[in-house]
Amino acid sequence: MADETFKRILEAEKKADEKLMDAKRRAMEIEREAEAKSTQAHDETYEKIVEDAKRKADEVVRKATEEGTAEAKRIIGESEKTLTEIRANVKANIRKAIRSAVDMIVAEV
Amino acid sequence: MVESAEGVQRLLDRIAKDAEQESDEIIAKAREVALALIKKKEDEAREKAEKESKTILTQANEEADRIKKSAIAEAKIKANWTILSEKDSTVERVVHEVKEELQKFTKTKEYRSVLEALVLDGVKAMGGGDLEVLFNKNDSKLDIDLNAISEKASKELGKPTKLFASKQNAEGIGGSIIKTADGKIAIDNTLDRLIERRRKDITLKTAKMLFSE
Repeated sequence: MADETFKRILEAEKKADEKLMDAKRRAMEIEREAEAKSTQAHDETYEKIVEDAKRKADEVVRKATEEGTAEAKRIIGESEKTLTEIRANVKANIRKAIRSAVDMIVAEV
Repeated sequence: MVESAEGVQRLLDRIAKDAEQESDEIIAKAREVALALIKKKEDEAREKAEKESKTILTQANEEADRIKKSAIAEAKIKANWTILSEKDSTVERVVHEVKEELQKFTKTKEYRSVLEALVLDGVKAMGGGDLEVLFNKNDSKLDIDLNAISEKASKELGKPTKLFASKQNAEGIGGSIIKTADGKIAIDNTLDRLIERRRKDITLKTAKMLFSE
């Protein structure tokens, strides 16, 4: 009877050891999976943040290009207005300017 | 016997329960470690990515600034160039028309005295002496009295001066060129040259009259 009991206890301990071994194997598996998952999580997190920054950067550059183009257009528009004013003034006063220059040359003699 | 069997069973249950509990703890601990590892890697990634993002955005802001400034500078240069070019061509037009007006002036009675004055002025600038006078083809036909001018110059300079008409003709719309007899020194008093000498003044005056705000 004692043998039988002893045998049962050994059996139970063996099962317990096996269970613990299984648990340790499972734990190692979990840690291995975590290693892979953590690399994936690292890459995904990094990609997501950097991609977001790149999108924002593109937007900043796009906006600046748009603003620069608009400002350039305004400057050219202003210069065209100035040009129109100059041409009108030239049309109105060029004879006077020519006369004045001729008089200056003749007066020098 | 029964108690003994129950005792054994309790012991067996206890062994099984302890193993179960320890197994659960091992797995729970592994899960905890796994989660911590994932969180650590995520935190590292976040920190690294935020640093990288900051660089990306700084560079983008710099590029944006460059793009904007460059577009504005280019437009300003283009605008200024267009206006300057217009002003420049207007001044050229004025100079051209001044030449045309002076060309017309050479056909008037008043021109004769102007031409004589130009000759005398050139002679005085040369300091008198024996000098050759060049006119263009049209002015050569005016028969300017070079002897009278010679006398006047001699008197004004206090030095004998003799002018003679060159066989060569000057180019241009009018005026004269005075040369020493050996041709080494010359004074260009043509109207074309006068215009060129006064180009800066013409430009300033024209600009003042036509472009001042």
